[in-house]
Amino acid sequence: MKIYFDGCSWTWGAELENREDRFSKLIADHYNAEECNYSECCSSNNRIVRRLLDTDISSYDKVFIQMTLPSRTEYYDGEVWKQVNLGVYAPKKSIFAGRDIRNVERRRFMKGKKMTDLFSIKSETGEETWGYSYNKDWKDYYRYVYTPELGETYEKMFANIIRSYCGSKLVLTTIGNIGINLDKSKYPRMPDGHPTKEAHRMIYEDIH
Amino acid sequence: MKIYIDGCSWTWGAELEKPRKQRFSRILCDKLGAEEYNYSRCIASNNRIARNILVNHNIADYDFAIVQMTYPARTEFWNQEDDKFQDVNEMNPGPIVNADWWKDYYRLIYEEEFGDTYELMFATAIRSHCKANNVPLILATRRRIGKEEVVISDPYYSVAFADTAKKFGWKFGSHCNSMKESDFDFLMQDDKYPTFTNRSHLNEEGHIRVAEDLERMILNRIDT
Repeated sequence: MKIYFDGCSWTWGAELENREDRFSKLIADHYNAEECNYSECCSSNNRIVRRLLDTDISSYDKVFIQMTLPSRTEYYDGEVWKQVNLGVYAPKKSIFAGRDIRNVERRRFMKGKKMTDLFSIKSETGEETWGYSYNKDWKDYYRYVYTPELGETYEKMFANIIRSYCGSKLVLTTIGNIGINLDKSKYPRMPDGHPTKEAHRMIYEDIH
Repeated sequence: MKIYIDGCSWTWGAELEKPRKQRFSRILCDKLGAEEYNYSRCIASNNRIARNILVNHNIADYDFAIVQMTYPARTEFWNQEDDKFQDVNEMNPGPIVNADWWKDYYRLIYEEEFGDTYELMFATAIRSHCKANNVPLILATRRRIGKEEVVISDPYYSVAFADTAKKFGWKFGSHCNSMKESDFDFLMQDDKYPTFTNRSHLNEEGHIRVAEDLERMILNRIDT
């Protein structure tokens, strides 16, 4: 039995000491299945869908997809794909850690304070750059082009793509707006906002 | 029978004297005695076409779908001033809000591999969505396999397009793509379908022939 997992840092197990404690491993162990976890920190929904649709899903018995913040996106720089991520959970730089991510993001946009101060670009090689103004084009994207309407409409589109592609094999979770919400206060958090070891076990118990 | 139809200017019937009467979707639906639901728009992007079928409409309400995909470099954004989505065309990012950003996007960020990858991603998404809803689909494209002509007939095709062409090493008039014939069910930009000058769009005769071939495909699908 094989189980497909994808998502962002929440599914990857960020801030855990031991990756064996992440919920995907607990679920795989529960079913005595092979854990195929393709998640990446800073991932966008775009990447999650792009990777899924390039996969023959019939070779997996179950699919657990965790959607992420709708504001994230990606681009191809000529050599590798890169994830563009607003700095909600910037390590030790964010005042938002531990709070409801969706509301923080949405509220800031509604106030007209577009989140251009801090964001990161991460390549699939793992290299991550945090910055304030090093990349004018992406900073301007969030300042002038991106809107919650765009992000949330595409979030719906990606969710429907995932549902149609996976059918009954799918368990859809999220830290955004669509799916089983993992951004609940009942799940204890690490300092940078990711689920603790205990929270991973609680998530496993809730969704397996 | 209700037929869901979407695409760009080729499906909308651009350049025809009476688009809504002369376009292939209308001819086809008249032949089949079907109801035509044509949601196409000029300059539409694949993003819009995918969003339409996945978010805006319930495909389960239709008996058949014909979706024509378009140039992959096009995209869209939410225009807060007009409170609606607006399409962006790589050859014509001039008369839109944030035009400077979009010019830079095509000059500095967009890569053909991105466009080709997302084209196939959206094609797979549309196919699986129709399959999941048991709606037969004909997935078409206006692109040509391999060497592709780029039509320059719009007064706005200017600096931005020149930069884009230079970046990708296109000669004005043509560039190559990595599409395979098997990626689509129907190639609309086939030499057998007559077009207006510069292959800009299907002409009246082109729409009639496309409708005839689509009718044949639909009847075959229904028979099988």
